Order: sequence, then C-alpha cells, then structure tokens
Amino acid sequence: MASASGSEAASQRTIVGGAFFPAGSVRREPAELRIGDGGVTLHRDGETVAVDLAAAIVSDRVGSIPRQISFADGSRFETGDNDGVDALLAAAGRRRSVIHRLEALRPWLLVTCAVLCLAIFALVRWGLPAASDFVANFIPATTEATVGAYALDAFDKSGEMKPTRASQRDIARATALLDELVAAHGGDPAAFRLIFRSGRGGIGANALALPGGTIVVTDEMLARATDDDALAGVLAHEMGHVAERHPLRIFIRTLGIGAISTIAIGDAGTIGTAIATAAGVGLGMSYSREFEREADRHAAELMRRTGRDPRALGRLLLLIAPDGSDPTGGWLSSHPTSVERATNLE
Amino acid sequence: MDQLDQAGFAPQSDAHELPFVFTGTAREYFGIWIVNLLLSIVTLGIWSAWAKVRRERWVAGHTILDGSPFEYDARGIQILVGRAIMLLISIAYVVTFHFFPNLIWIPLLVVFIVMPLIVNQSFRFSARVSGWRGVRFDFKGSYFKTLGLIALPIAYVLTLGLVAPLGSRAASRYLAARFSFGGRQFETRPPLKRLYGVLGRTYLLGIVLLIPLALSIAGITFHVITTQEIGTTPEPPPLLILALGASYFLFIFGIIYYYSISVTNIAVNHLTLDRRHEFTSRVSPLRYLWIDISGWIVTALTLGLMHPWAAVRRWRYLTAKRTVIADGELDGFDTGRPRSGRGFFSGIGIFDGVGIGF
Repeated sequence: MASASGSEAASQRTIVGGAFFPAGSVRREPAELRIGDGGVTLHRDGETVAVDLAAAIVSDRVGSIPRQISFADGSRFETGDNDGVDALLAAAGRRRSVIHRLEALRPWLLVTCAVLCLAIFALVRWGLPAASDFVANFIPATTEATVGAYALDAFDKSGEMKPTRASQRDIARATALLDELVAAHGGDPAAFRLIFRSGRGGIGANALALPGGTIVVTDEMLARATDDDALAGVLAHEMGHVAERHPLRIFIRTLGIGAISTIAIGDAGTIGTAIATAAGVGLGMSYSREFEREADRHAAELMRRTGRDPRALGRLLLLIAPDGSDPTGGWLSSHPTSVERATNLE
Repeated sequence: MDQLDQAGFAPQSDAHELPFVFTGTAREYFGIWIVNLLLSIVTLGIWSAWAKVRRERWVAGHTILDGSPFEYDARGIQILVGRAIMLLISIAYVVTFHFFPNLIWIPLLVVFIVMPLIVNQSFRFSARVSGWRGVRFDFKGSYFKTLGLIALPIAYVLTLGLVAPLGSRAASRYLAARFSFGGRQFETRPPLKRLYGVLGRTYLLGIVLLIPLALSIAGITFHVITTQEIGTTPEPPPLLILALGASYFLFIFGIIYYYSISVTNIAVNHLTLDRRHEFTSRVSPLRYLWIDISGWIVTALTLGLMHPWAAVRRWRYLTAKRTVIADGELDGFDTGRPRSGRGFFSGIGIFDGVGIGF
C-alpha cells in the first residue's frame, strides 16, 4: 500500500496493509486492517473479523520503523505503514506521538541544533561551575575538615611528604607571616592552620591547601623563599585557596563534567568515550587554572593590604620554574605558566 | 510499497540464507538524536533513559530479517533506575578515591564482588526486552563464569595475548549457551585452530602498526637530543607529539579491533539456534576499523553534528555483513513474554543490540 506523508492524508486512510501473526505463531500471513463505519476490521485469508483497537497495545512511532499492534488474544499485526497506523489510532480516539512530530519537523531541527550548541556552551562555561558551587555551599565545614584530615593522612602515608626538617627559626618566621596575613584578611583566624613537611619524597618546593583550611609548606619552599615578601606571597596564595574553598569546588565540578559527558555521549562506543574523557580532563584542568588565577589575585590583594610587594611571588615562581616548567604550555597544564602568573602579579 | 515488503522474502521450505537489512537513514536518525540530546540536557540527564529506549527501538526497528523488524520493549523508567544506581555507585567511588584514598580498597572490592551480578542482570534485561515477531530472547548467567569472563582481559595482558584464543573460545561458548530465543538454545563451537590463526595475524598486524609508533618515538628522541640545552626542558614540535599520539592510538585500537572482530566472526559463523538454524558473519576488521575511525574524525571535525551519519554507517555495515541460514521455516519458538524483571542494571549498556552484537 502506498504510504502518504502528511497529517491530512493520514486522516483519509482506510486501508492499512501488513502482516498478521496468529497467537503463538511466527508464520506471517498477509493481512489488512480497514477502517469502516462500524469500526476497524481485520481481513486475512478471505476472512473478516472486527478488532478492538482500544484494548490493543500499539507500539510508539519512532522515525519510520515498522509498528506492531498486539491484540488482546495474543495475535499480532506488523506494518511499515506508519501513517496508516496513526489513522487507525485516530479512528480509535487515541493520541499521536508528540516526540515524533518534534523529531520529524525539518525547520525545527536547525533551530534545535543552534539552541543545542548554545546550551552546551553555556552549560559548560557558566552552568556547571555555578551549579557545582551551589552544591558546595551545602557541604558543612566539619565535613570538609574531616576530609582534609584524611587527605593529609593519605599524603603522609604515600611518601610524597615526609616529616619536616625545618629549623625553629624558619617555622617561626613563616608562622609570624601567616599571623600577619590572617589579621589583614579578617574573618576567623582558626580557619587557617599552618603545618610543615619535607618535600624530599617527591613534591619538592611546594605549598598546598587542603579542604578544611590546613596549609602545608615544604622545607624546600622555605629554603627558596628567603625573601619575606615572597614567602608571604606563597602563604597568601594558599590562603586564597582556603578562603574560596577551591579544593572542594574543583572536586564537585569534576564530578559534574563526568556526569554530563556520560549523558551526552550515550551511544558512543569505546573511541567516543575515550575522546569524551580526554575532553573532560582538559576541562578540569582549565577549571584548575581559573582557581589558581583567583588565588593569585587573592594573594596580590592581601599583599597590598599588608604593605608587601606582590611581585615578589612572581619572582619566586620564575625562580622555581624559569621556562614555565611544562613543555606543552598553558592549555594542557593545571597551572597557568609561571611567566603568565608573574606578569599578572605585576 | 511499505518497508517490510521491500526487505522481506517469500518463505520457502528449504534451507535458505536470509540477510539482515538495515533500513535506517542518517537523516531520520539525526532528528531523533538531536531531540534526544536536547531533551537530555534540558532535563539534566533524566530524559537520557527514554532517549536510550528510543534509540534502541529505532536501530532494532530498522533491522529487518525475513520481512519483520526486531523489537525493543524496555520502559524508560527501568533504565532510569538502573542509571541512577550506577551514578550513586560512581559517586561513592569517586568520593572515596578523592578524599579517602586509604579506603579505596573497600569500594573496589564491593564492585569486584558485585560486577558479575550486574553484568548478568544487564544481559538478561537487554535480552528479555529484545525480540522478533513477538518472540523474546533470554539470558541465564552463571555468577562464576561471568566473573571469569570479566577477568579474561587480565590474563590476555599478562600473557601478551597467548591465551586469548582459549579465552575467546570459552567466552563465546559460555555466552552463546546462555542466550536463548523463544525458549530455543543458541550454541557455538569455534575451532581453536582458526582462533589461533587470528592471533597470529593479530601479532603480524601489531608489528606493522608498531612501525609508525617507533618512527614517532625515534623522531621525538632525535629532536630532543639535537635541540636540548642544559637546564631547559625539551619542547618537541606539536606535530610530532600528535603523530605519536595518533600512532599509539592506532596501534592499540588496531590490534584490539582486529582480534575481537575476527574472533566474533568465527564465533558467529559457528553459531546455531535450536541446533538447526545457522548464522554467518563476514565483517572485515580493517574495513570496520576504517569506518569507525573515519566516522570519528568526521564527527570531531563537525563538532559532533555528523555523529548520526557515522553511527548509521556503522550499523548499516555490521547488519549487511551478517545473515541467518534458516533450516526451513523460522518457527517453533515460544511466543510467551518472559518478565523483563527489574531493569536495575540495564543502565550499563554492556549488551547493546540484539544478538547481532555477540
């Protein structure tokens, strides 16, 4: 039977050709369903019977795939004539699929594409960070502190950090600088806790902020930062991470990226998943860089308030990693390059 | 003429070869795919469960055998529950990994223990919602055999692939025996000799694909040695790094695809249903690899918009290369519908498709 397209034609259909399968059998017989004045009838093998469409299960329309109608007695009718089935449904007073109309309307598709691209862009750029930060607000400080304690424990056990060998004088110097910065920062002094480790296990001259407000400074960093202003810069930078709850927020954002890519690349297969994962990692690193810049800005502000020179941190960074310390440069690293950061601190 | 008449054949009483025909077009799939994606994003992923159902129904419905399409009958809510559970498990895992690295062995152990159950349930769900002419598939897994199946890749890597044919033979025999259609059993006995033949050719392919990889590494090493200045870090040109990445990618996927597709071909070529119907599979691994890779390149270059075209191209190729050799009429199957059960773990999507994806 010729299948016409368009809803006007569908409403005039009276014959739907297809295959009939008696209950329990998979042998197909040619058959027709006809819409008449008395309702819908099935014609096969010379016989005509009335059928009750209201009690039948009709498969949903998806594109142009063939439809199945399962009757109450277990028999089935298959047809590729989608418009015909829609006409049957209309005759029985049943609705047509809304989703299908959305999928089939051509001009809508281009609009949908454009909206989709914009939506994805907006989501990734603004929506995801905003939503993640919103979620972060609900994590209580005590949970964060507990988590930070576990993380520190794990770090210590991993061997990357070892017990500190710094002199009492260096420790006192760093602690005094922190107290000065905390006073200038305002807020709760108990929110920041300074501890020391040796970086000889692997992390070298470094400083990090853990969830809950613990700042770790390594002996090697103390040794390099002979200039008080530079050390204060490092501490101020880490205080920035603590104040803005960066460790927690980055974690939640990374979760979000993972969830979104899984949804979007649903039927991708192995190669697609690999690409999506790589893109997700790249995105996670760009969030990292955003936070590092934020912490640098925080540091610069704090330095100005205490009357110290913000550029000292920039000089220290260039000392530790003169050429940027990452051959592939900005995009693939989790920190902006040292050069970039030094320039921003000017 | 409706599609069924175009794709079907008049039934005959002798053994005859019935092709699988894929009638879907990229154009039509584009509409479905785009609406799926948009609705999924707008509903923050909740719609993705129904999106998966629509996609599976579209692919199954456009796969025609002897004039009748395949059917996929899952309900969106079942898939949603499954995905929600998987999401919770993933979150628990990531939280532990990120904040309590010492305790990471707990969720890993739990996942390890629970994985065979999940895989079996997932196969069973996908089987029971898939059908043809109203006849449903079914799957009855065994916990320990599925555990073995999951652990196979470890053995492959440890032995550099030498035991792979043994593993593939055991895996395909196990899986086939546990699937049924309308109450009738599948069975396959792939000959070990042919499987080892595939392994040999895989090794050869691996050697061939190692050449570009070795050249890239040599190129980078050469560059580093000749331009290195003391105290600076080396910066190889991005093109060489890209070449290294691409050749590594090609090597890994090349040997994996070649081996797994060839082995699947053999398993399907020796597959029987109800001890009388047979199957053939003539998928060319290299051609399929080309279709897949070129599909991904085009998709990437068009920022994803050509994905429907690439997907339809893949499905059409796979469908065209498989056939059923029916012994007489395709009948004698039970048409009762087994309960599709709790689709809790169907969200994994390990088993996509309808027996065509063995």
